Amino acid sequence: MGENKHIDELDAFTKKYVKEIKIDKTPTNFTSSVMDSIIAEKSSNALKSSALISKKAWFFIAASLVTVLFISFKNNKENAISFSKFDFSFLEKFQALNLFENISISKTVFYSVFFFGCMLLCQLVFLKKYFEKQLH
Amino acid sequence: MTNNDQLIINKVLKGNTNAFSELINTYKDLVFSLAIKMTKNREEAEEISQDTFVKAYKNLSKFKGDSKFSTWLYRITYHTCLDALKKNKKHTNSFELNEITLNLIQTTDNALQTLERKERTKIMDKCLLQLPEEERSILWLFYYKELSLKEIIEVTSLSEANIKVKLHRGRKKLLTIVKDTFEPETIAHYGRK
Repeated sequence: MGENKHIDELDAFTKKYVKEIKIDKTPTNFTSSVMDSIIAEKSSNALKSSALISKKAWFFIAASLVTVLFISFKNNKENAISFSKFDFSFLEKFQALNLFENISISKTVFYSVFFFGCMLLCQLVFLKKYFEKQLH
Repeated sequence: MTNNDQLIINKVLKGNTNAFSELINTYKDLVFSLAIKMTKNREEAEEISQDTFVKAYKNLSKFKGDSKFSTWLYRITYHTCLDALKKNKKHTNSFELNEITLNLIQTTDNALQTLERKERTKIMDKCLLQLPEEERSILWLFYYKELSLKEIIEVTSLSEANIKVKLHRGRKKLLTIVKDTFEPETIAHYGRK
């Protein structure tokens, strides 16, 4: 009860004198300086490019790579990959020949092309950074 | 929030960045005065006020108009100040609270009334700055800015009970500080009146 003693008088006292305090004014160039910060922030955001390949896409690429490698190493008894194994019979529906029937490539060529592709994808990251630097 | 504020906000959201300067001009002194009351430092308050407006600009799309635009700005200012205070690890002195008597309120009031308004406001500002930052800012928002308890809850994220306690303590401490700025003889003189 003692805590709330004379609460109204104390409230009136505080209101009376706090209200008299003068408000602090900002410096004259305040608005222009805030606007400068906002415009600088806005232009820096405009230059920021979003990732070419999203995290989800990277995950998908990594998962595909692991799967392909796993399958390849599991079936390493076979020496070559032949396109004749693939079923291109659906192409007959378009009254065309199965062009890939007689094409076969060695595993070395297959892996070379595959890893070349992977390295090219990785280079995209470096190329992106390079062009970003050029822009700045 | 005024309709004009909403019109300006819409303009800014549609890409007219310069329209934001109208909001800055309207609210800069309100934001700055709260920042200076909390930080007690003009340079720091200026920096915080700038940060507040930049944050407000960046998050303008999140402002749904459920509360006043000023309340939303106060909320950003208050939390930016708290972060800055935490970073600088500034601590205010603790006070020993004496019992508040009606006589104490009246004598302090009489003593203040004898002063010129200019001197009185200077003393009050100085005394207010001696309060702990949370109590100081709540007292400022409640008495100077005349924010309701509901609005202060929005600004500070504190509970109503907590705000009421801080308000009450703040009032008591402020009276004690004001009383202590006067010579004991002065207080005694007005006490006898």
